[in-house]
Amino acid sequence: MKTTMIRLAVASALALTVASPAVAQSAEERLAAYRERVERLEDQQDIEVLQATFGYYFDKGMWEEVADLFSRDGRFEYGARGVYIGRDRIERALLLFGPERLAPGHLNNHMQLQAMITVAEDGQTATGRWQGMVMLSEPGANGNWGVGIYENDYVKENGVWKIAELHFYMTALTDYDAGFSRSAIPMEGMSALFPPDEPPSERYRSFPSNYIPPFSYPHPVTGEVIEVVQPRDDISGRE
Amino acid sequence: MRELVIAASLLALPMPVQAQMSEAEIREEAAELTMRVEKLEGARAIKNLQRAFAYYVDRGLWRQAADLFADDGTFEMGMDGVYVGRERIEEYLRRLHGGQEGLIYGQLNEWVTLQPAIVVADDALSATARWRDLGMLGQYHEHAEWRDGIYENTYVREGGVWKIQSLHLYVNFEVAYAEGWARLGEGEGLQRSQTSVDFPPDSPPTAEYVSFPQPNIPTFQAPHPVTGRPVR
Repeated sequence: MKTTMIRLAVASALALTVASPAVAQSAEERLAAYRERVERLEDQQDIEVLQATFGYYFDKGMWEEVADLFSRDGRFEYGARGVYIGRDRIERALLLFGPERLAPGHLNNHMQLQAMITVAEDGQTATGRWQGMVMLSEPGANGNWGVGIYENDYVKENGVWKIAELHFYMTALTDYDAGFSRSAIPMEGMSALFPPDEPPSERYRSFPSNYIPPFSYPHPVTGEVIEVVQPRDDISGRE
Repeated sequence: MRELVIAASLLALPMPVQAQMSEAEIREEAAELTMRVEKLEGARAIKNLQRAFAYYVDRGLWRQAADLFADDGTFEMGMDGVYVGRERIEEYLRRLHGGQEGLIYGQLNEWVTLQPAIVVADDALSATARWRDLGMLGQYHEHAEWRDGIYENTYVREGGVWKIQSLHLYVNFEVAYAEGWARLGEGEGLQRSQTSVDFPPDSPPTAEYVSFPQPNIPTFQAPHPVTGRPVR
């Protein structure tokens, strides 16, 4: 699915590169071309708002509202917690991040920054990479700084963009007082209380490991599909 | 008289567009709309371009980061001077981060790139942008830093593809996480890197740098968006 979308994105990038002279086009053809270009701009704008809104709801423990941003069989995967599938399952899994609408002493800020959005040529699917800085606290514990990468898939259902797959790769999580040079907090694993529908789609460790979340988009200038070399990991068995 | 009034009110009725616009007028408006769409597309492409740069540098993909630049593209960060061309930029980036491909175990290198103010030229062939830099840097069990800075960059569209023409990161400060910026003394916020000494730039810095705690306002390329006047 991802490979197909990358191919589509490359094709659309190439199509845009070849600035077609307007000479031989009929008025209808020109209009159709405009419509597509404007729709692709609208798609990117809609997806940016969709993902930003996810962040605003997620921050505040608005779990029902968060779950409703997903497509019917949408997938939610946060760090090493595994994959929850479908809105009902996602909504319950979100309680692992705190009570509904949070509670005193809970901070759950997940910023949605630096959007890199690639819409497929037919305007029906898209991918997005986002930079996600994290600020957390729970009552009676130190605060945390964190940072991670989202690599998400989106789908347009009946003209409305929804999250088809949200995957947050935790890059690093640290104790506020100790900071990144002294503290590296490992990711939470799968919940025993409410196990996921599927295990994590990828086995990796956050900081101090130097894992690279794969890139959904081709290089914007060369069109190259980025092949990444992941760090060796004795336990997960990666060479 | 009454007939005249009726005739005038008939003229005021909205007429279908086809009946009003000549072929030439339609062509003219279409050309104008094309430029407007191209400017919007340009702003989008530049967001992706600059954000891709950050995502590559974050993970130590030096070649991919350098490949985002135009042939004579330039890179200037802090007091390190100007590096010209993709090869020089790639090597500077590599050496600045330890000399290896990718990051090493325990290396944190987040160049969070935010708050774009992009101005695309009317011909949609060049653009400028100001961005905020928020760096989370360090090496586990050795050091960790915050960095604050401002980018003032230029972009060019060559053969339909947007590329970075110049990247200029004005570093306001780089400071140890444990101390925090409020404890910085005069001149401690920014130093020339050892990389720039060992691998000298193609030309010296283009600006006089002052770092926090001194106030430091990187020059604005773009005019004031409301008054249209240059900002000094």
